[in-house]
Amino acid sequence: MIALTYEQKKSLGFQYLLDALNPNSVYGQELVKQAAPYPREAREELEKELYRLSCLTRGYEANKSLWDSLELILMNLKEVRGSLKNGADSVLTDLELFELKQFLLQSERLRRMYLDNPALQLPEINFSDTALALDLLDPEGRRLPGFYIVDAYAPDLKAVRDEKKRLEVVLRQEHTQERKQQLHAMRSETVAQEELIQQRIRAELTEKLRPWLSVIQENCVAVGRLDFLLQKTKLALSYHGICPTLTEKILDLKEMVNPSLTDGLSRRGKAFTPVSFTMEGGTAVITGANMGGKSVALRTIALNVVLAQSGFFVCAKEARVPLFDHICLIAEEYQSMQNGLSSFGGEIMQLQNAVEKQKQGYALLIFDELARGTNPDEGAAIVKAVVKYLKAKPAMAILATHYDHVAEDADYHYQVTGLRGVDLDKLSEEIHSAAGQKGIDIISRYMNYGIYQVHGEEECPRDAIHICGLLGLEPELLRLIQEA
Amino acid sequence: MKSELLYGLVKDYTSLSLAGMCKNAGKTTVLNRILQDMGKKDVSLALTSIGRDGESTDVVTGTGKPRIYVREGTLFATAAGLLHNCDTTGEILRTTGIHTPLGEVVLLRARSDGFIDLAGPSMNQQLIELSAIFKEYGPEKILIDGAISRKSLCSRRVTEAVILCTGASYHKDMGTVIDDTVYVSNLLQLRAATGSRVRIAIEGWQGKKAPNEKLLLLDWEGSFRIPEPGKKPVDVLLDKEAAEYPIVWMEGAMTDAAIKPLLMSNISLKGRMFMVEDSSKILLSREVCEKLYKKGAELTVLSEIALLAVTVNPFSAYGNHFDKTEFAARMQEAVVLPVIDVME
Repeated sequence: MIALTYEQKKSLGFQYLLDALNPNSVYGQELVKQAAPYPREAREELEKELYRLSCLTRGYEANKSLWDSLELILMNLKEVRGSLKNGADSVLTDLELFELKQFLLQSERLRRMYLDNPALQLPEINFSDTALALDLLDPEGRRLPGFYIVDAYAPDLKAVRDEKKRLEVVLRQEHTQERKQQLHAMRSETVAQEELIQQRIRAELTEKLRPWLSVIQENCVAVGRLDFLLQKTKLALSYHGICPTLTEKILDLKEMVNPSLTDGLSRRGKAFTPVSFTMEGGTAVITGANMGGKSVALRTIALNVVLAQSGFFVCAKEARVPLFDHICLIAEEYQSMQNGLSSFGGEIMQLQNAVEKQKQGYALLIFDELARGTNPDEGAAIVKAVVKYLKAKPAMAILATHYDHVAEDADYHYQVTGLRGVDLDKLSEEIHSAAGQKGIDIISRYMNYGIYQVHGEEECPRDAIHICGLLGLEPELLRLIQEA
Repeated sequence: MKSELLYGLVKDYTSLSLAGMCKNAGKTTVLNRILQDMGKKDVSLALTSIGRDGESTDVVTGTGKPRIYVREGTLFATAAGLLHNCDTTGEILRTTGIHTPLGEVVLLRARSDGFIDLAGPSMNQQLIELSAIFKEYGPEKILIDGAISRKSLCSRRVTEAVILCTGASYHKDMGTVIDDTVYVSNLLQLRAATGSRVRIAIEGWQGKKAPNEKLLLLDWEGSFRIPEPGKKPVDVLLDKEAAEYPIVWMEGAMTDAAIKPLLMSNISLKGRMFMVEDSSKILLSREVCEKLYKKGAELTVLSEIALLAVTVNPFSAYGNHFDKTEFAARMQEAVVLPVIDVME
C-alpha cells in the first residue's frame, strides 16, 4: 500500500484532480477518497481498471445521452449499508425497508441500462438481478417509490385497517367531546393491533430479505466502481489524458502536463511548457537556476507516475510507466510542522525513511531541492552522496537541485531549458526599450520552463548571471560575480 | 374558536406558519382547528414544523397536550426518530437529506387519519428546500408549526402568512403579555420599503458580495457604498460619508449587540432607515427597539409577511389564568388584527 498524505497529494496536483471528480453516489465518493496507487503486486487489477477506463473513454462521445441518465440513477442510489448491516441480525424498520426498496428500484434500472448498452459493459463489474428481493418489498408489483406495509402483506392487516378506517370516518363527523373520546379509545385499540401485525410482517420480511443482503452489498460495491470510473473517464477526457502502458523498468513520459499548474497559468493568460522525461532505473538529476522549472518538472513527473499507478489516465501524449512498491516524496514542505524539527532535520528524517523503503522493494524516490537550506558546500556534498548511493541500488531516483556538478555521477541529467537559445542581446534591448514594463515580466515571458536531456559534459547554463545582467544590476557588482 | 373566521383568514394563502410567543400558547389547538376546517373542505395539505416543539403538556384544555391529528392523504415531514410516535398508517415517500438531532427528515403521506409527531428542519434554508420538495407533490397549502421562540419566526421565503399565538403562560402580568405580543406583531407587520431601485441594488450586491460583507449603505436612488467588512454598525455610521446614505442594510440578523452601541453613541439616527430581509431577522429586545424608534430611526424589510391574526389562550400552564373576556378584549384594543380566543 502506497500511502500519500493529503499534503503530498496536494503538492503534486493529484488532489486537484481528485477534487475535480464529482461522484454521484456515496459509494463513488468513498472510492475517490481512497484513491491511491495500487500495490505493485496488484498489477493485473490495475491493468484491468485501465482497460475499463479505456472502454468508457472510447465510447464516451458516441453515447452522450446515456451518461446523463446513468448519473441520474447513480445519484439516486443512496447509502443502504447501514440497513444491510442492521438487517443481518435485527428486524428492519419501515425507514430501512423504504431505503432498501429505493435502492433496489434504482439498481434494477441501472442493471437494465447496463445490460442494454454495450458501451457500458465493463469486465468484472456486474450487477446481480435483485428483482425477487424487490418483489418482497413491492408485493403489489407497482414499482412506485413509496413504502409502507401494504394491506396485501396479510389479510388480518386489511381487516384491522378497515375497522380503523370505519372509526376514523365516524370520528370526523362526531362533535360531542365524550363520544369523541370513546371513539379515540376504540381507534387506539385498532392502532395497537395494526402495529402488532406490522411488527410481525417486518420480521417476516427481514427474514426473507436476509439472503439478499450480501447480494445487495456486492451491488453497492459495483455501483461505486462504476461511478468512480465514469468520473475518471470525464476527467481523462477533459485533460486529453491517455492510457499508460505499464512496463517493467522503463519510465517514459512524453509531453506531460500538470493540470493544477496548467489551469492556474491559463487563468493568467500563460501557457504551460509540456515536460518530456525518460529513464530506465538509476538516478536522474534535474538542474537549473533558481527561477523555477525544476520543481514543476519534478511534480509533473511524480503526478503522472502516481496517476498511472492509481488507475487513472495520465496527462501526457505518450506514457510508459513501471510500477513501484514505494513512492517517496522528499521535500521541505512535506514535513509536518508539528514534529518540531528544523526543516533540515525533517528532510533528513524523510531521506532516512526513503532509504529504508528502498531496501524493502522497488521504490521511486523523488527529491525536491534536497538540503536546499544548508550551506552550499555541505548541501552539494549531501546531494552528491545521495546520487552516488542510489545509483548502485535497484531504485529509481529523481532529484531536482540547483547545485552544480552533482549531475556528473547520475545516470541521467536533465536541465531546465531556461533562457537557452534566447537571443540575449535582443532580449536586453527589449527590456531597455519597454519603459515602465517590468524587466522580470519580460524575462519570464522568454523563460522556457521545459526540460531537456543533457548528454555528456555540458557547461552548466549561467542563467542566474544572465538575469542579473538583464535586470541591470550594478556593472561593478556584475563584473565581480562573473569573475568569481 | 371562531372556526369560520380562521378558515376565512387563511384560505387565500398557499403557505402559513404558526408562531408562538411561549409554550402553551395554544398553537397545536389552532393548528388542529385549521387542519379540521381544511379537511372538511378537502384541501390537500403538507405539514411540518420548525425544529421540535418541546411541549410535554398543554393546558389549553387543562388536559394533556393535544396532539396533531391529520386526515388521510395529508403530506407531512418529520424526523425519522419520531416515526414511531405517529399512529397514522404512514407511507414513506422519500428522505430529504435534511438532518436533525432526531434523525433525517422524512416525507410521508398519511394513509389513514391519525396522530403525528412533528420535528422538521430548524434552519430557514432547510425549510426552503423542504417547501420545494412538498411542492413536487402538489399540496394546496403548506402549514408550518412554528417554534416557540420568536427567533425562529418563519421567513418570508418559507411562508406567506403567519398567525401569532400568545397566552397567559407568557407572563403572569396581562399588561406585559399584551405589550410584548403587540411588539412582536408590529415587527411581523413591518411593511416593505417602497422603491425597486433599493431592492435591485441590494440583490445585485448580494449576488457578488464577499462572505464577510454584512452591511451596506444605500440611498433611495439605489447608489450604495460597501463599508469595510467586519466594521460594526456604530463605526460605519460614524463615518462622515454615511450621512449621504439614509438606509443601512443589515445582512443576516439585527441584534441588540449590534444596535446598543449605536444608541449609546451620539450619532444622530433621525430619519435613519434600518433594513433587513424580513421580520424574522429582527432579534432586538423590545427595549432596544423602542429606543431605536425614539431616536428617530425606522425599521423596514425587503419582504413582507402577512400577519393574519393573534390567538389568545387565557389558560396558563403555571396556574394564573386570565379572565378570558378581559384578555381577548384588551388584546383586541391593542392590535388592529382579528383576535381569536382558542377556548371559544
